[in-house]
Amino acid sequence: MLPPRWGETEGGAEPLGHTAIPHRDIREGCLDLKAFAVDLAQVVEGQAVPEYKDPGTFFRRTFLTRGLRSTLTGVLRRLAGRDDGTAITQMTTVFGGGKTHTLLALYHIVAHGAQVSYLEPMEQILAEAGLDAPGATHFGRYCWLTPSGGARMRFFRSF
Amino acid sequence: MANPFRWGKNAVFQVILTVQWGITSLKGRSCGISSLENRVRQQYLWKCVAPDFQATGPALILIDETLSYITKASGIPVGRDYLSDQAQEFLLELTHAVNAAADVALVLTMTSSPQEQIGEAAIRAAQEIDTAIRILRRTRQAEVSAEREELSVPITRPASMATAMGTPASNRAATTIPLRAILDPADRSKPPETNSMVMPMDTMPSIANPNDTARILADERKPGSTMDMMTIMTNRIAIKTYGCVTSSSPEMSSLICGFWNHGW
Repeated sequence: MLPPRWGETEGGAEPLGHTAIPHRDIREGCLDLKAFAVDLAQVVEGQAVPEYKDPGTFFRRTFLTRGLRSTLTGVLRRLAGRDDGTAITQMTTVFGGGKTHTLLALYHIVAHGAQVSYLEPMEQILAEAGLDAPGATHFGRYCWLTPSGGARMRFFRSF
Repeated sequence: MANPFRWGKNAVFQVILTVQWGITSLKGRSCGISSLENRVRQQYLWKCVAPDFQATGPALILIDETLSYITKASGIPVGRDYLSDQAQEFLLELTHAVNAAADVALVLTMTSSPQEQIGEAAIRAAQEIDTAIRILRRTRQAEVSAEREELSVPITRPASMATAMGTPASNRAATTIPLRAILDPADRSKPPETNSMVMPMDTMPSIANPNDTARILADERKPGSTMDMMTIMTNRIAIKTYGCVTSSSPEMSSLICGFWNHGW
């Protein structure tokens, strides 16, 4: 017997498709698996999918877990020179647990602070961190290392 | 190797190692001059990490898949060491340098279990790096996965709310969450639109409270709570709008109870 599809009712239970509506790409069966393999360098170079490349879309699709919020606020406090910030954060999440996603969130905040500071998740983060909205130069510079492209190291300077 | 600092014969910083992907690893030998070490860390190391960097000013360093570097470098001989040894040395020096700066943050990702650390070099590197950064002050290990009570939130969050979350505050009023109509269970001809019943309060954008809507706030669903009452109501009474009500709000409890007894 085939399992019920989205929106179909089985017995008296409310179908999941009625109470938790998936995104359009899932409903229409056109989910791009590349969306699961994000690379920091691809995002910066504009080669990633919009879900990761565009800061607004990224935060719209990002659920801020308690751990993610804690990590972001700790790093932002540190960048702001606060004593209660976190200097070094070691992400030890299991495979697929959101390590790179967290780095991307930090990247978008630092690199596109002016674009994302007025978004709802960012307002939460900044309020928790006790910081003002980051301007274009608030957090200054960033760089990152990524294993993409073999053993090459990529440097990126500030905007 | 020539001393690039030209600080005289007494200042011995002997080994400057450049790894394959451009990072320069600094292995300083103590020469009793702490200021010299600080100078090297602050000025030289940062220039090696990123030539445009200065020793001052906020900086964010992101290192993804740290052990991938170590693994790839584990079989490459460099001098009397391997490239992986130099990379580890660099990371340890980097953690010291980051700690010494006031507004620099380093975020690196590691695999969380030995099962994911493939190769002897990767396992060893993970242990060494983990030990090193644990003993540094102001270092924390972060777990960002959704916790158990958070699992239901993303899938029950209505699409309209997700839109509002990514909407500028100035435009948010126009995209405020449309409060979903609750159908009378007897009327099965219409598709139910309820899709969000449990939300942590802090994920909820502010919602206006027009005449025919309740303010939506919810944090948990416990038997007997106002949240549960609201669920009961929506199952029995056809109303046009609904609110998920925080059980800790006396005001909303009173409001819902009033509705329960007297209608909206």
